[in-house]
Amino acid sequence: MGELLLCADKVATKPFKWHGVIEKIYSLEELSYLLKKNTFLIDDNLISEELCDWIEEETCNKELANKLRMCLQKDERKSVFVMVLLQEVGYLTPKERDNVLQLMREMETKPKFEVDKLKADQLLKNGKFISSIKEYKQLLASELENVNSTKIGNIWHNIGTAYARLYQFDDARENFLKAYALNANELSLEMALLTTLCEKNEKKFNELAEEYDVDIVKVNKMKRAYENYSFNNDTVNYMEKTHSLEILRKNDYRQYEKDTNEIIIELKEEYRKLCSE
Amino acid sequence: MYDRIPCYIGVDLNEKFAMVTYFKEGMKDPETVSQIIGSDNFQIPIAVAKKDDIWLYGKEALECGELYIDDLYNRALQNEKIEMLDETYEAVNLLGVFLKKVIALPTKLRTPVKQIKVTVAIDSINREKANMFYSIANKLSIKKEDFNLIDHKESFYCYVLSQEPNIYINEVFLFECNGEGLKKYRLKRDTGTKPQIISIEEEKISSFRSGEDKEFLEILQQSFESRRVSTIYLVGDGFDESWMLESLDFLCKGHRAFVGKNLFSKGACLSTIVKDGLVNWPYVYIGENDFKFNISLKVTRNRQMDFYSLISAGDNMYKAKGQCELILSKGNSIDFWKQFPASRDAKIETIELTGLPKREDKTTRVRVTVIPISDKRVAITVKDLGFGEIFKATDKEWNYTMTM
Repeated sequence: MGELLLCADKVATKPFKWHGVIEKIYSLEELSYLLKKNTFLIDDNLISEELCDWIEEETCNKELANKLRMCLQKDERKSVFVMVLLQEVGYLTPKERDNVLQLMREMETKPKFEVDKLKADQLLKNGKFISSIKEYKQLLASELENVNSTKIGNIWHNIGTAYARLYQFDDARENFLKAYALNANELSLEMALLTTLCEKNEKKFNELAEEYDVDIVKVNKMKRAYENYSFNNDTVNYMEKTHSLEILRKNDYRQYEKDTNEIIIELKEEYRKLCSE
Repeated sequence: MYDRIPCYIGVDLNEKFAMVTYFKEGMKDPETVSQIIGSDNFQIPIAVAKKDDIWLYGKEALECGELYIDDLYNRALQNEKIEMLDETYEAVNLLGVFLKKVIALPTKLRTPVKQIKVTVAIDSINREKANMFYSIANKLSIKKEDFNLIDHKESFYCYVLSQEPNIYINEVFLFECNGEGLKKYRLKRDTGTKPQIISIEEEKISSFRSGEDKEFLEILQQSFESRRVSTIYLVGDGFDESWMLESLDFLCKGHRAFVGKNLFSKGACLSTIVKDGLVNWPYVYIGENDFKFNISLKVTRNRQMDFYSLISAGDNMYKAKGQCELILSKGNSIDFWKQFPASRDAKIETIELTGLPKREDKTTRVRVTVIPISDKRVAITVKDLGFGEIFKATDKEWNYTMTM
């Protein structure tokens, strides 16, 4: 049987921006949801006077805003601030709320390196690739004495993933190979090889496979997997679109130019979103 | 220094006249005002005139000779356009001019007021009349929550139950006559319920003519037969002359009887005071313009189950609107709980929101709007609002008509 949660507060006209998570938050329910999904990214940028002002002015919940301001004034821990907020809004179940708070309390006791890595991982998961690369590189520039090489390697791997998602395959490959050198994880090497296939550079693929002594069975398996992956819906649509454009180019050049420009604008916009922080 | 409570203004309108009663801080009872200071003639002719760029109304307008326009109420209902001094006016706008003047009449007395609340009482209401008056109120910059339109029965109800208890210890009758025809209202109280449910029966006797003493006596005798009646009100010009002899004799035996013309305007004024919660009011009256049953939603509020009322029985069906925003959890349907006020049982009617895109649980926000289209039927609209930037709204709408 379903449940209906009554929304007591106003939807904001001016949204709140949570850097690294989302450009626009319009309601306290959305904020609660995002706190649950991005617990590792709760930091002083979010827990601020600015958030309290937004809650008061935009959602018209002066009472909650004042309670949160008290937390700031008393210099309470971030978990206390979040607990007050989640309790008052009532969007999360008690169990969900307790999970968030437990995670936050654990983070308050974890070493800074681990906390920062969780943050960077969350940014990567959220599709904030440039922000995640920055965070990972900051981690690598910090004190790494007590961090084992596998963990460092995994960080390089994640940087590689971020670059690959930005279609910067050269940089991605470089980082995957650095990762492999440290973590000896076959997956990192595989990813490095796949970047050459993504560039449609079979020569480079073969050179790399030879350099790292990848056996032929694995090489063929990777090539087949890549070919199969290529023929997903997006690719089929792309090929159909390209084919239609080709016909258009022969029959109606003006329309061809117009359609091509539109597609380019669309792709540019998509890429800009990928690069947003 | 402004008063702490608003100035409550009741306006009774019939085809020919308006009457105004008001109540503000410092007054013991509502008072009816005359256009002429000191006069006890409270009837204000529904007429306007323009002289030297100034609008005149009521008696002042009639004294302008041929320049006045009367019968505004009927003409406004017929959407008439009226030519005056080389200009064309919509009759409804002229009625608005008249009402503005009439509403301002009490506020000119004593100290200025910060806020007014107005109730207009008319004989009977339909959607056309309701739309017209609410539109006039809007043009006069009176907020929707500060303006009400009621019928004479509701006005009668508010008036009677505001009097001393002896008045309504038994049944109360009202007879209205303005020359031709007689209207009869019978008010009964169900003392077995809490709050007490008040009902009013209405009957029209078209054949009656003012001055017919014997006919009126017969009507009274038939109306009161086997009934316990405590009070009778006689309202209208038809009771002006001293033609009641035997009927008056009958009326005064074992009953209290009152004659007057401003009962409905007083009742209108009192109705706003009652609605504002200024007085203890253990009664409920559900008239023909009032919605007949309750519609609510079972919701979670602050992590606790509760019922959220969208429309309540007794809400004015022309004015009522229920709206809320909900987040759906564990399903894409909404259960509406319907219940008659006197009943303990509720019916549940479910609306399935088919075609909603697949989203995570608790990431669909919808707006539910409920508007009465008759006293027993509502139009329900549910609109998908998505979940901010996380899940974009489809703006898809589901529309339903719901009855009990």
